[in-house]
Amino acid sequence: MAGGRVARTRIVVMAIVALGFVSPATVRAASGYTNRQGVDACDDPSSGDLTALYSGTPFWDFGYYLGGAEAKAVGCAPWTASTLATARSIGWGFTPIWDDLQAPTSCGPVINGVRHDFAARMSSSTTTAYNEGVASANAALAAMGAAGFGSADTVWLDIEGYDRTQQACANAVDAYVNGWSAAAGVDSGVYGSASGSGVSDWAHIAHPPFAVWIADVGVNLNTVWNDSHVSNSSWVTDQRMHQYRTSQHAVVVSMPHGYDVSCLNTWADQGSNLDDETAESAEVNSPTGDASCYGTAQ
Amino acid sequence: MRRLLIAAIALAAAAGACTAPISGVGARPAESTDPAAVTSASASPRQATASGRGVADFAAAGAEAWALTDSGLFATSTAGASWVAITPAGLDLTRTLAIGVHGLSGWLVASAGDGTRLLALTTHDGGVSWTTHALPGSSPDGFASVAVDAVDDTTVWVSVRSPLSAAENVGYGLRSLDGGATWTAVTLPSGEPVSFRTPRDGWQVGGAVNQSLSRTVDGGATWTPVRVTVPATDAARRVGYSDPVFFGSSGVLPVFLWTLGGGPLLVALYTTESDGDAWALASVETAARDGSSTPVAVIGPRAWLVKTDSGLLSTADAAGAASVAATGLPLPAVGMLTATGTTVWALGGSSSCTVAKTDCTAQSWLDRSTDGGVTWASAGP
Repeated sequence: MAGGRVARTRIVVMAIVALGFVSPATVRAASGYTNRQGVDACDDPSSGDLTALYSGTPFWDFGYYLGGAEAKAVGCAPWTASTLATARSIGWGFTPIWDDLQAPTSCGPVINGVRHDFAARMSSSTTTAYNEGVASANAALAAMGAAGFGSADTVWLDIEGYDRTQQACANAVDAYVNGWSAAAGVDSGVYGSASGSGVSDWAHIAHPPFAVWIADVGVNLNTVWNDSHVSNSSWVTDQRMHQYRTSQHAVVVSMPHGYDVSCLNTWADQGSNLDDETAESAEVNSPTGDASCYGTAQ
Repeated sequence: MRRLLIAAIALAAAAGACTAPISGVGARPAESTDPAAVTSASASPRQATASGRGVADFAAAGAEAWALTDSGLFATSTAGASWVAITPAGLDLTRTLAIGVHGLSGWLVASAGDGTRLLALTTHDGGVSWTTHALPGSSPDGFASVAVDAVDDTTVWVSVRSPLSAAENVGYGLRSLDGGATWTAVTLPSGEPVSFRTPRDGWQVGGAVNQSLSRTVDGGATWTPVRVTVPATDAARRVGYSDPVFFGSSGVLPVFLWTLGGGPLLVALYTTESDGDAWALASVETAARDGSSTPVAVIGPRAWLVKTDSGLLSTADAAGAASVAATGLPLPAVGMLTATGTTVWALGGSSSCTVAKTDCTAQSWLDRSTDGGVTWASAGP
């Protein structure tokens, strides 16, 4: 239940990860609650970029594209085991993104008067869209396991902004998210534009996502609260992230498209560097609790 | 026109009142050879140039170049030897998104109102006076990135990337054919910057990882995908395009080739003698062993500089690139290279934090070389 206290208890998972060439003795994957800043990007970063973006920045977690039909169509390739191991060895934690079916045909966003339908689209039938959401969740959980993530780690479904002037479009997307969350349970996270994806809708569906990643750039920097489109009374128990910058560039990082920046107040794989939040139980928060993420807003 | 979008220009969004109409009138002051004396710089964590200013955006065409810093907009007509402040009066730097320059004409794009609309500030006298025009359209969720391509004194493009996720490269263009007085929305293949050789012949990189390249020959009305033939030995690699650079009908197209999960980045340099109608592979250079993207400066129709792990590679005849013993350039910190005329510009930077990744600051700087990349000196305003 999105608006209630934590729906389940998660246990900090310490696991030895043996991936690629990194010594398993030095790389431990740990998950828990965090209140740090992170980035996300479509790029397959080099080891140099992973180091440059971690060192000298307030960023701890990397949202990378784990898979999904839309990710494949647009060219966001999943990281290799080698890249994951390298990132872990540097200290990165992860918020894996599952970029699968998007809004139905003729429901894509209208940008400056032109509709942009997505490459991979869900059915306009709510029944079918629900089942597609279930299937997407099952595929994502399998991919999470294959990538070495813990059974309690959140996987984030990417729901891009769509044409919300058409109720039929909203119904299909909400049904898809409902199916996703029903199947993924406590692992269900959903990313979406605060206004364009209808994040607030998801607090009222039968199976709300356990956590939401709210994209609303340039406002409420470095906090997960006070978004004008998402009530502070929903997803209150360490169940939010807020993407507040997109397409950021740093001279020392060669990723052509830069990276997006988010404030995390949620459960996440944290690599080998646990946030002290991890020692806490899930908290019922408000804008005065975990008011902002560590480090200055970017 | 060459442009470097550098970094960390905060998207100006909802906060704050509407920017007041911006205009600056008065004689352009003489350029100062002492960068620190151009104007007083406010304290800023990004300060890093010789004068203490962090460079946020840079655009150059011919001898004229503009640098947007954390303390204002500066122009040089001496290839960086001296700079003059040309900041429009009343400009809110936190709302400034992109700049472009062509001779004494230049354009600066900033967000307006609640961050859902754009303004274009135009000068045709080197920054002495400015006029402001509202750009058509709006974006309810703001703008992911904005770029300016100043084709000539009258033709200007603004490209806008919409703030969808990193996977979706969607946007649109705004074109002026009268120097910035009026603007028209134009559909573009992606939200990336455009690069026009002439008012009708333009190029745009696209895709989530720059895997596509499109061309228009009718001023942006229609766009056609362009692909180059990758060497058979590299056919399995991923391909990333960058904008071609033209010198009349001749041009150079740098193409990046890499593999997922690591391995070296190759820079394939293609040349054309036919306005870009056909491209021929001239050389392939190994740039970064770990696959990091790398800057390339195209100096002439058969001349370029490529940054590698060990230094700069240079060629003047489209083949046989040789190492350059660059002096005065902290190469590992160089993130971007570009050339205008005989001047090569390098943008570099670094970042650091105090304990536990807090109080993090970024620094950036601008260097220049006028001898093909051999000797470098600070060029920051």
